[in-house]
Amino acid sequence: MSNRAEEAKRVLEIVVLYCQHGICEDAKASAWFQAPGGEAEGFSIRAVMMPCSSKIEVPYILKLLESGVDAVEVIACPEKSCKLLTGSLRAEKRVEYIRGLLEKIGYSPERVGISRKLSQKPDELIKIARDRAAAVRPLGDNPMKTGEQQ
Amino acid sequence: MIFAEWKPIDELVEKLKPYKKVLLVGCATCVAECSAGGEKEVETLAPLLRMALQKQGHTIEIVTATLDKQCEWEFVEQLAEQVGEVDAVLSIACGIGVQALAERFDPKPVYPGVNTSALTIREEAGLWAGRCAACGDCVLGETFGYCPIARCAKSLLNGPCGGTRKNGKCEVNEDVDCIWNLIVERAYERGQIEALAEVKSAKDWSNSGHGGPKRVIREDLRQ
Repeated sequence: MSNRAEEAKRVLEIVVLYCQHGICEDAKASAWFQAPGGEAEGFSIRAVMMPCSSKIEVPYILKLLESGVDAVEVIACPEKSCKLLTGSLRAEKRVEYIRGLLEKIGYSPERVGISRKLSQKPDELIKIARDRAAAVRPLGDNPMKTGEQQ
Repeated sequence: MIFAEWKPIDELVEKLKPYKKVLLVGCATCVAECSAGGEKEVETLAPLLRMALQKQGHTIEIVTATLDKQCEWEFVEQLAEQVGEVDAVLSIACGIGVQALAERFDPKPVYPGVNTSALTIREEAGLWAGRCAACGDCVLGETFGYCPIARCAKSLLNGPCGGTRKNGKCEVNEDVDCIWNLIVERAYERGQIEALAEVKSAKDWSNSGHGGPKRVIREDLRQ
């Protein structure tokens, strides 16, 4: 099997940390994160609900990457819709800070992203994860997963 | 607070490469306040270093601890068991904490993870500014509560110099107030401008670093 074919087959693990207010009621009631079909889709989602995106601290995301996940996506509310006023702004700044740290150690900042939109529907959430997977697929495996040099 | 900033990650990675197991130690006082060396920073730097080292082909176990104070022997002692189990220590406390660990746990290699650079106040979230130079001969009583040693680029005792900008900022940095401009303004506000007419003589620097290593003895406190 060619490298390209192997790469396309690889199932990327995408962790989605979402603010409880950033997704719609339908999404809350459904297991939307189980929808992507593994090899068929090329990625899987591990979704974790947060009381507010501002609860996502820098070490949380770094430890997820250290554990080998391929990418982390934060789902936060738009700036003026944050129930805690500046929570989603803080989340965005932390994501930018982490992206800077990753660059300093030679990791692609694309491994962490943030989406700020209110009441996102299941298909929108899956698309965000799919886009993140597409962004990191060319990077190859997270070196922490394989134990090899990137 | 004592202010410190992380050393470049590359520099830390180079220092840790020869070891198999390292203890990363933070301090929950000043360096925690300036977001460089508290528990949160320990838990941020540890995975970052593991990832950086792994990427370069070095699998190093990094264990962590954060002391309430790294500059007090009673707290330092709490690390004795952990230090015995590692090859080296990386401290992200100020230089005082680093030296305390190096002295207590000699000959264990102890490396600084931060550069200690100033005595600051947190003006607002994410903004720290120098307030004290530990000069050993405080003049705040004569300068209306503003320190010209720490806050004037030239540490002038008789200011301002000719470089104050029209907007009252320092010629060295347009984001920094000319401290002598503020001193003069406050003197006017209090109707005491004539107090600044007196020329201040050269400071006695012997009570600061210029007098050699600091050593203070208080017999009333000694055992």
